[in-house]
Amino acid sequence: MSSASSDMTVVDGSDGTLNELPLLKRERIWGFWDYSSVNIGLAIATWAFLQGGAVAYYVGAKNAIITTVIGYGISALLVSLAPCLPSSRYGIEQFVSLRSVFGGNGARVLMITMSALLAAAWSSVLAIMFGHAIANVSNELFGTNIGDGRSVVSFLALGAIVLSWGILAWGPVSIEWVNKIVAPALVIVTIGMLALVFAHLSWSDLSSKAPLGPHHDSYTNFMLALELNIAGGFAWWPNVGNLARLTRSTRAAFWPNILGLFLASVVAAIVGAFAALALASEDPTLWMVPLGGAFMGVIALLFVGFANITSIVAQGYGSMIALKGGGGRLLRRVPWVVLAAAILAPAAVVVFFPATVYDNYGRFVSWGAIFLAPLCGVQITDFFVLRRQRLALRDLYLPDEESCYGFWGGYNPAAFIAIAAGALIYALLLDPVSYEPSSVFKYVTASAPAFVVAAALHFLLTLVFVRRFGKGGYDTKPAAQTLESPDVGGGVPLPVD
Amino acid sequence: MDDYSFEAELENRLRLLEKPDSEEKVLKPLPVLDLYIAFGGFILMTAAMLLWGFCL
Repeated sequence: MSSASSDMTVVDGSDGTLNELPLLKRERIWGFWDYSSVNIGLAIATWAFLQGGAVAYYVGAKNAIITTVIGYGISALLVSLAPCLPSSRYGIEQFVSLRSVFGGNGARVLMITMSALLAAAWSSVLAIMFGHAIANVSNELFGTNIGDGRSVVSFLALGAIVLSWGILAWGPVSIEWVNKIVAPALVIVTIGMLALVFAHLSWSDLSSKAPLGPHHDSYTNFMLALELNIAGGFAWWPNVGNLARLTRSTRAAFWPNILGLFLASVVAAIVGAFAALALASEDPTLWMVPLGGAFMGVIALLFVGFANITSIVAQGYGSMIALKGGGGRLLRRVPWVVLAAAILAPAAVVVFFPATVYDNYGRFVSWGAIFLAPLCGVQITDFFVLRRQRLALRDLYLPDEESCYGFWGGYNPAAFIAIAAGALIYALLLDPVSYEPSSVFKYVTASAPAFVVAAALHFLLTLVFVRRFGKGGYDTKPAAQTLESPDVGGGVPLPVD
Repeated sequence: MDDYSFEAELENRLRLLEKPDSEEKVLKPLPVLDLYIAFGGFILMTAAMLLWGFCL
């Protein structure tokens, strides 16, 4: 029993980091640099190369830098506010924090849907990338021609999924692997790629390279690349809240995202864009051998291939923690091995349709942003504007009929309507199926208006509808609130550290 | 962890966090100054990028 909890008994074997319990002081293990290293480790993953390759499809080197910096800047900043700060301030699992926005049942529906869909989608993208990498290694070493045989790549991807399941079933070792071995090595690969690009090309050569498949209008190309990067940043939403939860201060939960989600992602994506432009290919698994030669290229390719496995494991682990934590009694009882299989099973199917995700990375990121951008807008408005960073901690865990966050039957229709409106705006501005932009898109992007519309609508509906019916605990604020004032959790004063 | 243990542990933790003289506390909100710095820095960076891209 820790000194922090010496005045009450803590049940043996309980570990708040593996379930939805609010964390105690002893369980908040990360300061600024700890969280920064984890954050940077996750940011410099193989998906950053895919992102860079997708950006190079629309813009050249200079605009790749500009759109990546601005795009990631927007979304990394917003994602750093929510879900990171609610989870960090109260030490709560990030889908538990969503109960104050969507109601208990609403948050559960979101959690199960998002964990299942996003884990399936990202795992399949990374597994297919693994398949491509191993196929290219085989082609280089044994003279095979696997690249044209889609089914071979799909079976290799399936092997990656099975291997990932084995690692996940064995135990939660993923994030440590990523940070201690894979992340530093990927930093070396990234720096090596940058050096090799500039060994072959000068800046003027590189900046004169044409985009790989641009739209006819250069301004629309710029905005499509910007949109890709905003969407790429929003894709971090499902992963970062539960990491920020482990930090010891809200500053330590906020600023490391700027180093990791923003700076490290930007550097890796820009290097990816440079390599894609230099080699006229979006596929990162086709860059290594031409850049590094047969020997170094195959080693780098093998490494990048297997780095995808650790990324799948990290992604799957995050989803499993979310499901275990926020899934209530039913999912708490499901054995870890079975849950790992359930999380990865959809990806095992999707890998047989590589064109759906890997070959259309931009659209795939867009499918995430169509929902995540409005979600982020609603959560930021709810937590920062409507609740002034205050949650009723106990009510987050009460049954819906007793909790001030029960809304109507455990659902907050205002938040869902706002999300739907934001998603609709997104789809009207940028068709998520054809990826064809509307005429207005080139002035506003799609993610940014989706975020703003959802945020504004949630604010208005809450004021004129939810609050008027006395739902959601919005009326339990103290008379005078500032961001610095002591916390009041729905009428129950909570001590502030 | 069975349901009973979970509920007991949850109640323990909530009582600790609600108790004024406990060492267990929720964290302070992020200072507003940090938000100003973050958003100000982002605006400056965006302006610099656009200047480089379209004017230089």
